[in-house]
Amino acid sequence: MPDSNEFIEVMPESLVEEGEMYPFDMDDEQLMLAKVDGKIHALHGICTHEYAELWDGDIEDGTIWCPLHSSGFNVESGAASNLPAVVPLPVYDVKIEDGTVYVSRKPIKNDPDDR
Amino acid sequence: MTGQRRLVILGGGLTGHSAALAARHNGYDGQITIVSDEPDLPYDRTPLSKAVLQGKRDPGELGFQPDGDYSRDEITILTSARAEVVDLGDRRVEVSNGDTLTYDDLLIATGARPVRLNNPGFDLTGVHYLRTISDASGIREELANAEKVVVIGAGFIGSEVAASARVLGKDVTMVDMADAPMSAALHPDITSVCAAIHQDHGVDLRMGSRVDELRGGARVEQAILADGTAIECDLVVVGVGVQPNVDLFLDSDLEIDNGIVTDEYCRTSIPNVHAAGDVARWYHPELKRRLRIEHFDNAGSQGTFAGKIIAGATDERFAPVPYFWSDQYDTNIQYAGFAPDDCDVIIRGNPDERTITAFYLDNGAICAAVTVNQAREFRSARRLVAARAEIAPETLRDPDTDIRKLSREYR
Repeated sequence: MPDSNEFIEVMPESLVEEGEMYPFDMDDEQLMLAKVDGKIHALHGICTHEYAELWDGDIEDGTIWCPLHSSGFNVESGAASNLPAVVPLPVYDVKIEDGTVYVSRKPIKNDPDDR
Repeated sequence: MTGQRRLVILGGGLTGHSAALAARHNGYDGQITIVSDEPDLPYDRTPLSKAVLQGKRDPGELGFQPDGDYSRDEITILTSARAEVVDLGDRRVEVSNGDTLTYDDLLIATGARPVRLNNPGFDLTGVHYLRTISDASGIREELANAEKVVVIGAGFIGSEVAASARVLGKDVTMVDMADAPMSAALHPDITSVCAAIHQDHGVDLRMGSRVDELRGGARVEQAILADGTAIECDLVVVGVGVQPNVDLFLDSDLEIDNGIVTDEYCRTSIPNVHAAGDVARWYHPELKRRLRIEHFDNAGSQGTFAGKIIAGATDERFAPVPYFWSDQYDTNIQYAGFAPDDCDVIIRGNPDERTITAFYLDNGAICAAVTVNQAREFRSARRLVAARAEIAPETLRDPDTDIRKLSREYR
């Protein structure tokens, strides 16, 4: 089992643009980075309502909007803030070292294994 | 819970659920009771015509409160309980379970029900309508053994049921008086694509036609069209629209006109009585007209808004950008905005590949947008709608225009 102390390298920090989302694979899961107000977040990339790739959606006022049915998720907490989704999105830890973004292998919030 | 006020919400759908939570989370500290005539706690109806019919989702997992616990918000839900009498003068509700509830605030969120057809044979076994979990379970059960399905009505329910039945390998004939599916909601340049999608998937579309009669013995066997054509079938699903549930109030002083009439604060013509969701026809202060919307997004957002109003937590007006979606086969359709009748429509994308983004222009301003299998552009298009952006038609049409980038300046 990966623990939250284990991180993987994702991409150079300089390539992460404000208001954009970047998908990446980790342990057969699809995750994404999202940059809001200068801060980089890492979240699960697939909507908890029905299969949809959230990075094809949009970020507005700190909310990630699903492209298919407009479910909303808080980018900080992963909380489902707009229906139809009711299950929160797993959030991962992010650290930046030497200009590179690293993401924890285990969620720090809303881990489906904890439910 | 410390307050003495009592809020009664009639209707345990999405609107009632959203209103109860919003009232509680915005400072309503009295009793909140939802009266629902369904046996289930508030649940999402939208998968019923899709994932539930196709057997991909269990109806027991559709609840808006995943753990089913409303007690932590001190919300009481009376299920399988029908409001039988509402006395708006005495502020009293008589419930079928024998309870009498008195209230200080009343929210009418009774929703809508399918319009039923009374033509000959529509009472045969095998003829279904779809609104509730119970309806969906009944259709799902009979679909297992059905081979030929006739769908009457090609709107949202009809189109989605037809798609689900095709996914399950059934022969499907869909009949509607309109020229194309989804005609009440979408422009002809888009509904022609909707028609093509059904035909791509093998639906026998009978547009511009209607079913005058159903025939059969133990169960339905034939649908008879207006021109006399007989279509063999062993299952019929009727989706010809809904009507608002206003019956409780027909003899009251409430203003009713295709739904319960409210202002932009969900206030009805009687003090302390609010209405929201499918049953409410409210004044949209920016569109400057009354609307009654029968879609998921409005049911939730207007419920939430009504809850805040009842809690005294907002002085805003309810003026959303209307929004709906539909999923049929692997096609996702989304719409945002409100389009007056005489709009110009700009189509980008490729109708032959069943992928389009359409913009409705009202005197040059984008007032509505539709995506068909172009979800990647939807949120951006919606933002242009919300801003009523004025963008040259040739720019919108140009495949080299990046709608996502274009929309950023309207964030």
